[in-house]
Amino acid sequence: MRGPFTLAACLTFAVATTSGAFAQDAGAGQGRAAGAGGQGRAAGAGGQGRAGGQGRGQGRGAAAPSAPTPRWPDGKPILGSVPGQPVGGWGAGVTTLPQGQLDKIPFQPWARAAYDIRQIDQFEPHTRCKASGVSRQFSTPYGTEFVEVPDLKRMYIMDNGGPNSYRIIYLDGRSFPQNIPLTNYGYSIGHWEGDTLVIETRGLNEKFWLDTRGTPHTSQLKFTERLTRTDMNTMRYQATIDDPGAYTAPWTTADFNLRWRPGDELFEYICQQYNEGPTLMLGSQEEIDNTRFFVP
Amino acid sequence: MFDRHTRSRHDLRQPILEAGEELMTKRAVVAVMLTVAVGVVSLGAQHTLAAKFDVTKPLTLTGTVTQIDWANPYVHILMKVPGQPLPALWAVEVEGPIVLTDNGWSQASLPIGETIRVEGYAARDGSRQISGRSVVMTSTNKPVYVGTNGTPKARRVATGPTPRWPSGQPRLGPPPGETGYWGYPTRGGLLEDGVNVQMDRYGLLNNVADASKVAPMQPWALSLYRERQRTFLQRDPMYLWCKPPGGPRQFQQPYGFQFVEQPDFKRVFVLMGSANRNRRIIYTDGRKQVGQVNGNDDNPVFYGQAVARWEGDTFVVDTRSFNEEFWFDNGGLPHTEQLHLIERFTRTDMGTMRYEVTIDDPGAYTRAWKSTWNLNWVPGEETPYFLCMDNRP
Amino acid sequence: MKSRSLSFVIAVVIAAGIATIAAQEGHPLEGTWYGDYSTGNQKTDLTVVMKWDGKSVSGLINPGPNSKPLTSAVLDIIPGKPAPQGQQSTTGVPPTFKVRFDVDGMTFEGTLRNPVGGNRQLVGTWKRAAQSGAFQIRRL
Repeated sequence: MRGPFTLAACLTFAVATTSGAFAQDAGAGQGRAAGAGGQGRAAGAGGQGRAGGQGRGQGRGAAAPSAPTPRWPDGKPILGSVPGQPVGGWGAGVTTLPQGQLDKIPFQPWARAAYDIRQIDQFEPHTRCKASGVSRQFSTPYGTEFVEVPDLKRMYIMDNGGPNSYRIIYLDGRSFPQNIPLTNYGYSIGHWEGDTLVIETRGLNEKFWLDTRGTPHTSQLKFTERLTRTDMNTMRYQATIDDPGAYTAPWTTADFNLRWRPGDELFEYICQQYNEGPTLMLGSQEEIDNTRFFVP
Repeated sequence: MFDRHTRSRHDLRQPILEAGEELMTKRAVVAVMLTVAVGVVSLGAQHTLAAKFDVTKPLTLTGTVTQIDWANPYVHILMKVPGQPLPALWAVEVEGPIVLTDNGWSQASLPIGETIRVEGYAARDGSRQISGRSVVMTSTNKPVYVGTNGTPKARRVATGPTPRWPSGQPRLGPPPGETGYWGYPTRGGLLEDGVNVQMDRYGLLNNVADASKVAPMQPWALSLYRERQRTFLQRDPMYLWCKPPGGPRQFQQPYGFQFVEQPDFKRVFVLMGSANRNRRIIYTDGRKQVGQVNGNDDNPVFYGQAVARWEGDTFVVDTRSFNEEFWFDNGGLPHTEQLHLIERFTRTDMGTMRYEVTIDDPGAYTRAWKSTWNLNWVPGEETPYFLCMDNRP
Repeated sequence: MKSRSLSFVIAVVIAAGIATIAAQEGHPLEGTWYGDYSTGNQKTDLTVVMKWDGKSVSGLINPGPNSKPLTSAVLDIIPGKPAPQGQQSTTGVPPTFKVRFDVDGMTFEGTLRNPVGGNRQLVGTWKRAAQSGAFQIRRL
């Protein structure tokens, strides 16, 4: 597929088909894992044996009973590939953060207006090869791979596609540093609550969108993700957005489900390939008008 | 602080020494603004000054600071320069945020509204840009963003024997419970071992006439290399469009990379601190280099298909299937899709990784040839956060 | 003289506190804006620095010895019309962002062009007593 426009269109389309219901906020709540409840409920102690693991509109039909959650010798769930088995990846699963509850989100007026404009504009930084943090990592078509490195007390969330980059989740019990330089992926620290990995991220800059449709945020954002591998094939994902710069109160998303893709290996995807035109690499001609004249 | 202004093809000067670097030749020293200190903190990233600025066109400007764009690859001070009918907005390019921070500067070092006097060089393309060779706040008459602010952060070095796995195999990454990355390469551009030619940290030759000595190029490749050098590496795809530093180039970058070994899955990740924080995999499971799993079988890629094995204490990586859409060397040495690399990594001690690359590209070179340099371990730190496109809208 | 130097000190303090992060996708007004305003045939350059703290917009104009703090700054959203259910969202009508800020006895009122874009611009008119004119500033 040649040419920046068709490439971008291809990606957008692929996300739409993979992720089912796309930015249509009616029809909320179908296919949620049984018992997951409404927003604000922590995922709790895993989902052993819950057959509802197929989650939201993935379009894969009824799931055969899945193998149970794989575990390390100490009993903790294995979130990534299982030693002794082929590696695997997690397909995309997060569509838009406000899924199913757009009108209940406590937007500040400017944030709701920005969201509305972005539905029309749809010109997101990710398409322009900008690394896009936290929830956006789980919206690219080929998803991610979770690479656990117990020796180094950390986990990497590797992009498969998109910016072809890596996010570090520290699992060594550290606290957030005093002054966190703002970055596209932020500073992430994880801890376990039962079988759920709770990842807190701060230090996110404002140079990306949280999801494919532009749910807004500011650098005051504290983003909490809850990941629970309910069975071998399913990762339940839920996020809490605490951003006093854009919202009048913290709010929590619905549950999303990421689907395990056994045998999926990471491959190389370089967004900048064929993206030399000002339209995608530097921004569209409409968007950018000699504002950043010192590039490169 | 090693800054881009201390290297220019138009000056005769003594080569600048870095910790661990050997003195290649001696030359007459000309009085020039050298700001090197022993135990220098960190290197600038990206590209040679001459690519963007014309060192034969010095410029001095005075203006009011309007905004500071604190972003990679270089911080820019936007300043208002008086003029008619309205003042003009100029951009002053100084070092990148990682280097500035390491040298004690921050965004707050230069308050908005201050007046500054800037000396530097004009941009080649005639745009309103100036390199910040000297930036002085007129209210204090003190420099800002050039040199160090107070005592610079000392560079961390590591000593001690090579760390090993229980099996005895050397660790390419940190010992358990620690972190670190490989950076501060002792070479900035490919140069055939045994050849004596001067080039700067970014691969720009001191003397373009030396081009033919750098590597055994075929005539078309030598012409292309000369042209790239003659035009100060301006058309570098990494500089213009942030294309990846495939091949040896990723090991020429100061912000380096991490190796993350996963013996359980017979693979080693390379996590980069340069370019766009890309990740790639080197497989040690004995597979053939047959292309990517998802689509594009055998399609040549930027980082190639890499497989590796151990030979004693040396990690030997074999990579092929490169495309031709990038530069595999800071200095612009050409390559073709026939490029086949053998890279030998030997961790001679805790702090040192010897890197030897054999370039076998019958499309561009008349024979295989080797280049060798060292990488230095930076203990206790992650790869600096650098995104090539940080300052692009 | 005394009040002038005091306002300079206040302005510098405000300017130092307003971190000029390249806020690209955050609040539409946050950042540094540069342009000019007209008085008759004459144009004068204008720099506006604005910050959003989650509750209100604050800022100043012309950072430096002659800076003045904004005495008020308001962003007014005139709703658009989201696309009906089941329709392409691109058929929706975007909201309008109207801005008004007061400084040094002048009132600036304008509309944001490309409010969430990289090259957003605020265009409108200023007034002070009987005087008025046009102004335009673009976000750096």
